[in-house]
Amino acid sequence: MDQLKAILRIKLKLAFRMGAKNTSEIIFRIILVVFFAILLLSLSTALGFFFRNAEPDIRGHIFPAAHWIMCFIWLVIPFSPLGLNQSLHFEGLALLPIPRRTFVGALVINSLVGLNGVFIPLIIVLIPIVFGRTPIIGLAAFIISVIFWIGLLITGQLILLAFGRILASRRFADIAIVVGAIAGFLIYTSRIFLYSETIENPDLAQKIVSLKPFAVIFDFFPPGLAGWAFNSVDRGDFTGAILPLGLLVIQLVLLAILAGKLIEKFFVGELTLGSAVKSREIVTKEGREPSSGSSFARGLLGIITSTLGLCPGSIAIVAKELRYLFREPIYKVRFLNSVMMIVYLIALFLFLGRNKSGFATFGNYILPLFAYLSVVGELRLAVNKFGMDGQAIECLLLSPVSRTKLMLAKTVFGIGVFQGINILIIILAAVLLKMNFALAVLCVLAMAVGALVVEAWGNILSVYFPYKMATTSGRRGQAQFETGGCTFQFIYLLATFVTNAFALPMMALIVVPFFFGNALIGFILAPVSFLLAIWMIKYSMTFAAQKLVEREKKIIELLSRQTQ
Amino acid sequence: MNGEPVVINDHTGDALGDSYDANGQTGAYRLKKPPAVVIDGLTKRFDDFTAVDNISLAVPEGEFFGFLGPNGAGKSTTIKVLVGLITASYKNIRIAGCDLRSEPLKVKANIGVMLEEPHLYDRLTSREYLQFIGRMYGLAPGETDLRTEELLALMDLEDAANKMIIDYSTGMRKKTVLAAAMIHNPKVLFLDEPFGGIDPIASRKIKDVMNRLVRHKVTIFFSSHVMELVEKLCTSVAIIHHGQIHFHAPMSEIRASGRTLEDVFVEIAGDGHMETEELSWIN
Repeated sequence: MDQLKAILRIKLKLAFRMGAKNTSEIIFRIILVVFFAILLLSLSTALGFFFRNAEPDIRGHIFPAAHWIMCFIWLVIPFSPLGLNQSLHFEGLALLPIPRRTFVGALVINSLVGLNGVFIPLIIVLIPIVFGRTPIIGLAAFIISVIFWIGLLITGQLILLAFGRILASRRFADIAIVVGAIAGFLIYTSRIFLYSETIENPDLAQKIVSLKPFAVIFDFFPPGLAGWAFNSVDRGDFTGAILPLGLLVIQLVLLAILAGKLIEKFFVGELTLGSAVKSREIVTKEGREPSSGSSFARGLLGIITSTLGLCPGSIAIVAKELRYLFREPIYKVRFLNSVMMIVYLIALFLFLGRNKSGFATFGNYILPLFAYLSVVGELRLAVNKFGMDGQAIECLLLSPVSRTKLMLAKTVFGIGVFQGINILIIILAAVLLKMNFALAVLCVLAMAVGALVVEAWGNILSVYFPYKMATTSGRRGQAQFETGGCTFQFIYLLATFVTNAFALPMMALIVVPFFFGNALIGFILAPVSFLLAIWMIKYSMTFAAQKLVEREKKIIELLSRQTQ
Repeated sequence: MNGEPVVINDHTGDALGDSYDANGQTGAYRLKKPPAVVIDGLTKRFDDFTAVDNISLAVPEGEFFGFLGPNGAGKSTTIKVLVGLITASYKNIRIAGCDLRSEPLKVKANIGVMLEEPHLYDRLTSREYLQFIGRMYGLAPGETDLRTEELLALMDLEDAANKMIIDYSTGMRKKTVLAAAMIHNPKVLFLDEPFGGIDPIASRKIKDVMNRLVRHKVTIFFSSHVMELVEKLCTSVAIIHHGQIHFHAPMSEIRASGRTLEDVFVEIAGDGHMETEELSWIN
């Protein structure tokens, strides 16, 4: 019992400290949790009133749907880079002379203490409030939900134990990003497709959902069984709830047996959580530089560096950034976030264009909108140019490369790669959506101006407010996002406003005349915008380089801070 | 401060040679060589804690200098200040003839650094990392590649040269950093606990290279806890304790006195409490 108390104490400390850099951040998180709890309670009460008089069919659909959503979120969490469930060091615990039952207790503590411990009991309490038309039905909903959640908790820990080794590997992080991006794209585009098709054929979605394999998944998996049981109780058929509830309990028991077997394997050392999966070897060919990701990337790098006549140090920094973009999962995610958003939007309008319903409404306005969104989408990376260097900033700032050239390299990378790819996507969008040629050219010009403004602000803010974007704790660590805390979120918000205040009018100067029927004015005004943007970027680089000299020790200190 | 003589005290009563010119042009420093590292009045505070307390020190060119001290004595802090990674107050610091305050980039161009806890670009391979560092120091691509391959061979990293550093063991990471510190042929090498985690074969090779570097007038500012290693490699040592230099002398003097370096270290850093503390549960 004393051992469990000690484990609980350490887990509580870890749960409170996780990712939080100071007391104010912990207080902020507590306020956030309380706020969401109150919000959920209010919503649940409102829903409860609504459902009380609703048809049983509606409740019968909502109950399993809500459990499906919870199930999906819960089972996806272990695969996300949040590490919510991984704060207890199980291998360290296995070294201690603790009996098996204490180890199981540690697993239970691990799964319950933390955000889970706040939200799961809350959700279980809210279920009867929402669905409890009568006290008996409320009690039944509560029992069903408790059984469902026990199963879900066991499954979560099972995933951790069974796949912990893979989850912690960097190769998994790489694979997850690719799979996530493809899955996300497929889900979104199929949703868009279904939406655009169902405008013409309303029964199509219903037909797909009621296909046999779908029906089995929906009915016989835990959320479906929970829904089935609740539905029976809600209709007053208590005996009808016995079968689904029984199946739910059987699944729970099977999961518990499987968990027991895995714990046993872990306990005797057959199973480990740490990553031993090595990242792929970087293939080199005889006499050639190691690959920096693709021949396209190398070609792009060559064009950028030779055009701008960069010094060897600056070229080295640009090359390093490019390699990092291909190899650091968090860098990729940050970058792909903004790119994928535009790709989804383009896909949306491509499908909407088929039945002319949405596209016609937006018409030519969408291209400037895409152009603006993709430029500003890079702001988070632009305002924290040293974020991906993290602790390795020491290497960069120990070098004798002039700080102006260093800032130049970072700026060139931002404009040349991030914004360059965005411009290519917008050109593609213009072609696919058959946009007006003059408008497309104006949009590209506006994007180039916007990119310069974003990078100019990014240079200055990067020197003043750097924060480490990613943490990878050695060989065993999974790449983790760093949020930068409340201060950065506030600064970022401010930066967004300021950048908009400068970039929007300068971009609008080029694009807006087109919508008043005079594209030529846009072309005439473009050089004015360009000159102003070039002055901004030049000034920002000089200013940032000077400040970098003054602040580099502070920057090293900020980026070298350990998170936990 | 340039040109003003700086008096070095060894706190032991042994005269070291008394004074030298901060530019290394004149003076009567015992080793009769211009100083590669000059520290005058260096103090570093972290809030209320004084990590380094007004230390002054000179290390002549081509010296294998051992910088010793117990845990938390201020060794790593001093090195981080000297290489320009953290701020501190000081009257004068000159490295390889360059003023740290007014010529920080010149200082950086002339030094190689290996810190106790090195932070590298983990997602590069060691080959890419060395090439990156070489280019950052302005080496031509061909020269960078040549030195990279030689250093990889020296450190026994050839087989792992195409793997990302993130997959390296501590020893391999240290070897990579050490190679990076040497790639641009620096005038002064700052090495903080360089041999921890490095296997004996690579360790022997590195020691040979270091001795060769010293013969070619490279100054090595070397911090370690392994007394035998310091005793064997270094030509002079200084002991820092509670942020102050308590001892600074050539190794030859220690050997001549018939004492070992460990004796001197324990005498200074042991604070006179050398009896082993009793553990109540061990009978």
